[in-house]
Order: sequence, then C-alpha cells, then structure tokens
Amino acid sequence: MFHYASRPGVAGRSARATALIAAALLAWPAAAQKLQTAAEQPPVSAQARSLYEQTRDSVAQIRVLLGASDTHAATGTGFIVGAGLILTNYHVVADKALEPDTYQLEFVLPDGRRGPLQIVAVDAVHDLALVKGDTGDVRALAFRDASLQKGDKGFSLGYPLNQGLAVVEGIYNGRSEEQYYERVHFTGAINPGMSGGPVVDTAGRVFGVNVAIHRSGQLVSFLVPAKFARRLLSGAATASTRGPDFRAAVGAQLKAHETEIMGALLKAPLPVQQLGEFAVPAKAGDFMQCGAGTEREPNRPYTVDTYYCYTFSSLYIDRRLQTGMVSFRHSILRGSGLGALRFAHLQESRFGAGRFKEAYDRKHHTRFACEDEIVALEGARAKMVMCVRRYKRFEGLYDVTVRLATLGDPAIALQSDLEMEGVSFEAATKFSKRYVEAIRWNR
Amino acid sequence: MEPLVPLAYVEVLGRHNDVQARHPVYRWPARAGRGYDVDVILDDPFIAPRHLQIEPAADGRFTVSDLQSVNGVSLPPSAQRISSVEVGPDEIVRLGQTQIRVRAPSYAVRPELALRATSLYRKPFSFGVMGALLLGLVVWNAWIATIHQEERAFLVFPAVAVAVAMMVWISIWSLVSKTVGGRANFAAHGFIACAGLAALGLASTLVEYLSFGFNARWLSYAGTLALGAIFAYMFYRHLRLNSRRSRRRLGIMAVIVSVAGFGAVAGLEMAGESAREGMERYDQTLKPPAFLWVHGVTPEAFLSEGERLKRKVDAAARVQP
Repeated sequence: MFHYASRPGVAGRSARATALIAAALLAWPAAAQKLQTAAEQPPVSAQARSLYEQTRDSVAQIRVLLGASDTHAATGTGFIVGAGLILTNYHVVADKALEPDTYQLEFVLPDGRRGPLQIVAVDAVHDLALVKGDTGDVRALAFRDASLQKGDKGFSLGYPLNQGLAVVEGIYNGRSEEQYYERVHFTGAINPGMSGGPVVDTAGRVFGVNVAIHRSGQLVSFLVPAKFARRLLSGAATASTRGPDFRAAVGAQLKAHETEIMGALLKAPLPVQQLGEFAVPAKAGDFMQCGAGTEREPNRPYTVDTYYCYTFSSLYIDRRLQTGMVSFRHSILRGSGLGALRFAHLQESRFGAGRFKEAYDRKHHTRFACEDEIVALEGARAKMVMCVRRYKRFEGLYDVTVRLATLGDPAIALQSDLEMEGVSFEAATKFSKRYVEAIRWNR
Repeated sequence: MEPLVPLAYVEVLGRHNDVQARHPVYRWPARAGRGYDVDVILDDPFIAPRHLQIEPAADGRFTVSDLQSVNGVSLPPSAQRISSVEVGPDEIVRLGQTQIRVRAPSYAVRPELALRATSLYRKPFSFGVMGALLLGLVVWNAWIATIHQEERAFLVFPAVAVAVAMMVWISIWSLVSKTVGGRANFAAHGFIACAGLAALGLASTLVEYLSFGFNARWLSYAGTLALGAIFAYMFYRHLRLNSRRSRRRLGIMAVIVSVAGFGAVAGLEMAGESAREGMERYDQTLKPPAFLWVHGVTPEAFLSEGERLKRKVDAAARVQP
C-alpha cells in the first residue's frame, strides 16, 4: 500500500496501477523492457519441463488481426477447454467483441496449425472469453477443483512478448485483498502476451488464468480463479447472446457491475470520519481501499492533507475504455500567513484537477455537461460542481462527478471530489446526496 | 501702377480638406488647368491643359464649367460629371485627382482658436505615473499567483513582458503619428496605452469578483462587453492623436477593431475547446469568503437539478450514436 500513500493526489489513477496486460501489449516491445523481463525469469526446473511437455499442445497463441490482413494488432494466449473451444481473457478479444467488422481473431498452435476464431461468450467483469475454432483433436486441459494453499507451486504458460510459448514457475499466494472481484495473487513473471494463458498445478490442472500484473511491483501477478472459467464454459451452452457483436452483452455486464457496486455503497449509511474540523465520508466497507497522504514542504506557506477511498473495481472494456470504479478524495488546505487572496488562488488552482480529462474517448463518451452553484453546507458555504457524461455505446451508463470547495475561512478549506464511473444516473444522484450530506464543518 | 486686387481665391485642398495652396484670381472668366496659359496652374497629370472655367455668380458664389476635358469635373462625394454648376465657398469641386474650392476675398473666416495649455495626459510625467501604476498592478497580480517561495522570480517576468509589449505598442502608434501628423505624441500614446491596459485589468478583476460574489454568470458576459468598450475607447484615443477625420468615423473604426479583436480571441478560444473536449468545464473561480454575497442553495436542491445535465448528455448521445 505504500505505493498509493506516496501518491496522494491521484487516488483514482493509482488504483489503475495494476495494469491489465492488454495495456502493456500495445506498448511493447521496448528493448529495455525485454532485457529487464529476461532477467526476472526464474530458472526453469525439471518439474516445469515435464509440465510444459504435458500441457504445451493445448496452449494456443491468440492473435487479433486488423481487418482481413495477416498483421496482428495484439496477441494473447488461450487454452483448449473442450472440442474446438478455447478459453482466454476478455481483454485479449475485446476489440473483436465490440468491433467485429474491424478485427479478426486467429489461433496458432505450437505445432504451427492456425485458423480463424469466433467468440462464443464473454465475461467482461471477470475478464474471460470463450472462443471457438477448428483446433482438431487437441486435448482439453482439466480444471482443478480443490483450492490451493499459500506457497503452493504453480506454472503459468503463455506467449510472452511474442517470444514463443514459455512456462513460468511461480507461487500461489491466495486471494488479492485489494481487488473488488476475486483474483488469485500469483508471484511469477507473467508478461504481456501471456494474457489468457493457463496456470496449472503440479498435476497439470488449471487453477487460474493469467490476467494482470502489478506495474509498480516485482512479479506480483494476478489470475482469474478457475471457477469463473468453468462458470463461463457451462453457461455458454445456454447463452442467449450469439455474436458476433457482444456490445449488448458487455453493456448488460457493466450494468450488473454498476448495480452491485452502487448497491454496496447505498446499502448502509455512509460512515463519517473526522478530519481536523471537518466531518467527511469515510471507507464505506471492505470493498473500498483507502489511503492518506500529505504535502508539507519546507518553504511552503500551506499544507495539504489528503484522504482518499476507491473501489478497486476498474474493468477493461476496450483499449479506449476502462470503467467501473467509484472513488472519492478529501483534501484539507491550510494556509499559514498566505493572506486571503493568495489562499483563494491556491484553492482555485487545486479545484477540479479531475482525472477524467485524460480518459476521454469520443467513441465512448459524450462531452461533460457541468453546472456549478454556491451551496450552504453544514457549517460553511461551498462552491459545488456536478458534471455528467453519458456512454454512447452502453445504454443507461454515465460518468458522474461531484466536486466541492468550502468557502468558510480565509485560511482553511476542504476540497472534496467524488467520481463515479459507469453508473446509473439515479444511483449516482442518490449517493451524491448522501455524500454531500455527510460533509460538515464543525466550528 | 495700382497693385492688382484679387477677385477670388482658388484653394487646392489635401486629403483631409486642409488647404495646401491658395491661388489668387485677377480676372473673369478665370481658367484653371495644367497649361502655362491659364490663370490657375494645377500640377496634376489627370488635369487637362485647360480644364475648368470659373465665373462669378450672385451672393459670393461662382459658376464652374468643364472646358471639355477628358476626366471632367464633379462634386464629391458624387462622381457624376458636370458640365457647369454653381458652387458656394464651402463646396468642393473635383477635377482630375485634385480638389479645389473657390472663395471670394470677402469670405469671413472663423475666429482664431485660443492656444491651450498641454493637456495633462500628454505630459511625460503622466505617462510615467500611469506606467508605474500599470506595472504595480501586474506585480500585484503576479504576487497573488505566486505561492511557492522558489517561484519568487516569476514576480518580475510578467512586469517585464508587459513593459516590453507596451513599448512596442506605444512605439508603433508614435511612429504612425510621426508619419501622418509630424508629431510622435509618445507620452500621450504611452499614457493612453497604460491607462487603457490598467483599466482593462481592473475591470476584468472587478467582473471576476462580482460574478463570483453574486454567483451570476451573466455578469461575466456583461463584463466582456465592458472590456470591449474600454478597449474601443483606448483605440479611439490613439486614433484621435493620429487622424483629423471626424470623431464619428474614428469611433466607428475603433468599435470595429474592438469587435474584431474580441471576436478573434473568442474564436481562438472556441478552436481550443475541441482540444479540451474531454474535460469537465465549469467556473473554477474561487475567491475569499469575504467576497461571497449569496447564501447558497441546499446541496440537495442543487443535485436535484442534475436531471437537466442528464437530459443534455442524453440528447448529445442521441445526436452522435
């Protein structure tokens, strides 16, 4: 958590520090990165060799091709789970799922056989997809039912950085305590391109699917637990959506995600905590991650204390859109000998340094519509802003922000920002009201 | 021998109807043209050797007639050719590219203008005071914006930038003054420029505080109009030092320049909007609480208004699927 604590101003963005592999896929390969990743590879053991030989035939590279060309826009990994069925990550095939006319999918097996793929089902929330192609009689990998113990060995397979099929030994470390949706914390050198690859136990049974790495860590990797893969596989037979456009399916999943997150936030009264003379909304439950930071520099006539919380629930939808997170942040500004005018300037310069401006995509979002107003809070007046934008491709979803800056003292102020991604407008308004009601200045 | 007594004067006028030459006329009918055998010689290649004939008419008026020249005679602003016309002492006749006027010696001129002491604003001292005031305002603004000690150097830069820009602006106006009217009027231009910019700065600050204090967006729109008016007046004063055209014409010119200038700024801002289209755009202004004069609505009421924002973005999503 120290990583987050060291970057207080960007609560929202720091939550994205766990970069999905797909994000890195686009940037690769940089030479320096390659050398570094090569150095991180643990030595391959005899056990790894035997597992590699057992499972290699069932692990395919998935290529996303641009149009009808033979040139790939991105690559990932998948593994055979049934006759002609390959399981991979949603984020590997997201382009094809949402823009079926622009992209094509292709599998390449270790023996060189290749062929086109169709998407059968997607689960954007857990980042899984089931695809279908003519893979012949390749053996399907089995899933492991029993849970593992921390410290158990696991072997991840995949095609890192387009270098060919690789096996990586690592350690199972239980459930990630930070993330909203269940993820296995796996300590192993997973790299871009391995997304969707299987992670097997010492008997060659799949217990997880490579999905993400922690960018600021070392070998801290994440897997989708196998149970979600099985659920997708068993549900696929009865699924109502039959592509090739999965926009509606992804939209419905986003909506279900939104209902769950906002439901959790609205279920109980919002806890309040005291920050100096201010009462502000606090961690709403275990599903939120919180942190604090401070700016106290010598020679600066002011201090800023920041407290922030967020749901670690960002979903990768396509290369231009990640959504599904709710976060808030309180900053308390205190001037010392700054004077009213300069303190107001300081407040102004920090008012609304929102992160959404960096995450705008014309295809996905309308422009923001904003309104500002002077409001009377408990104990002080404040300038309050509400901004709303709508998702163009997914029905009934909005990004909503509420920002406020108190105007009650020429040297002390609270600035509070609430940012909700991919939420229904009604839930957002309801939560915003509770949020603002909780803010008080006790004087 | 009796000295010759002029019967009338033919006056050649410049662009601004200033008299450039006066030719006495000693006999009737008098003729004007480019040739040496006429009574009034006019050096204009567009004038015929014998172009125009002048004869006296009643009440100090004269009849002018075209002597069948190629370019003819007209009464500006009309360009229509006239073969013969009666003109008064204040009517202007055009022949070729020259404008003339005919007056009798009995014509009563206006009384002399009293000499005036140099206006205060034309004195270098006033320029100095106004310049210092302007730079003071610039430094004051920079001081408010400079919160970090290590940025103290930035206090000076805006003042230097403003000083350089003003010197360029004043020098251009002075150069024009010198070229057109013979006098540079440096101090006067300096005073006008500094006073104008200071007024613009003060007015925009005032508008900022008022629209924040009363939470009234329309005040900032009204403020833009006020700034436009201040700029137009400043431009008008500069023009007045350079041109003897009518005040109305100069005023119209200044308004046009101001509208064009502010329009260009607004246009550039709008062009910049597309680069910021993903941003949340709202009034970020925050001033000290002492300058806030409204009580504020309840947060509940404000957030309920959000429905309007929803309708807006819903409509936007429908336009661009």
